Amino acid sequence: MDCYSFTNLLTDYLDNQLKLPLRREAEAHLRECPSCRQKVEEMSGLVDALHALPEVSASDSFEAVLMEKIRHHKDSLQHPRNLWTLFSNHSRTFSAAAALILVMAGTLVIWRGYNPRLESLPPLMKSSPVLSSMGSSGTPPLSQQAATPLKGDVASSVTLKDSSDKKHPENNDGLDPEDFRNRIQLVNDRR
Amino acid sequence: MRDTVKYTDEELIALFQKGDERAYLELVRRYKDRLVNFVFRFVASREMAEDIVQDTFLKLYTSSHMYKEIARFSTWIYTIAGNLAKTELRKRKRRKIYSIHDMGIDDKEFEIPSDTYNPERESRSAYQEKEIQIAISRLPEQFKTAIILRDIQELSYEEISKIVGVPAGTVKSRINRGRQKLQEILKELKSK
Repeated sequence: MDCYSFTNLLTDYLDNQLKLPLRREAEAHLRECPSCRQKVEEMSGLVDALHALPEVSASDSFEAVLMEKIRHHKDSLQHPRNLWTLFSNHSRTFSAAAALILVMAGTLVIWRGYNPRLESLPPLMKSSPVLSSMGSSGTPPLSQQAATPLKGDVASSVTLKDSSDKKHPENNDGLDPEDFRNRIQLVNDRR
Repeated sequence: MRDTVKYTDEELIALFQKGDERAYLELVRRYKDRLVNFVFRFVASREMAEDIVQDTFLKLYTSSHMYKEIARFSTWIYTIAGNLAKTELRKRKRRKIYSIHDMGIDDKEFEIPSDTYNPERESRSAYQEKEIQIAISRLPEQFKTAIILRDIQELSYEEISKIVGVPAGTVKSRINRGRQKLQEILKELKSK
């Protein structure tokens, strides 16, 4: 056994955890190695010092203070004094409520973003350069929303459907193609 | 309930889970001193150690249903106390209210439990208690836990392995390296 192997086994040696053949090897090494003997001496001095540390025990008032803490805890469950106590006592309920609100808000946002009117637009309108840049949700990308002043116009061109319906009730698309082309042209020119 | 002293820890916690508060009190009496001693070596303040151990017992009171009989009660309660002590140390480190790492050997804030202080015993030891406590406080957390549980609480490798949640081989290696590191720190303190 060399010094490196012995150092790795030092704890086992001091704690009497080495099996007999290995213990004999370690002892044989110790007989020949003064440096490892010194290590053993120093380390066992340290372990003895740790064992000899005075024991710190609980004070006389320990149990009384603990009972007071328990009583306070029971009280806070029955009469929450502030919002934080209320929250920490019912954190699961609050978390479930928050998750439910998030899901409902998410559903609402997705629902509001979906525009059924655009889905029913005629192919001509869908291929319009202005409208083709809009997502299937019928809302232009955020970058365009900020950059283009045409948002109002696009919205009014989509809402045109209502007035066209009144003019041409026989038209299934609800739009006069000529009128629509003119309006798209107008939108493109203004762009 | 008959005399609670006759029951094992596991029987007592089972009784408490059924609502017997005397079983709870018996567990508190059995463990309060060893847990205060254990936590004191972590936080180096008796008041804080008592506070943490009371919180440990409060957790036992409010969450006794979390204990399952697959583990020994002692392992479970040591784990809770150890985790609370570590959390407190981390909080302290973050707040930087007080750091034992910055303390020198002459710092007066360092607490020695006066009722158990024995100068005669100390003079026989190679190291002074104050030096040892400072050196323990400077150990990395995983070595500190291993050294306190093994060399101060005198628990077995297997029990430490369950409390810390690592294999017994890792525990041995941490104890070995922890002792070497502790010795280095103590030599450094002596040379100052």
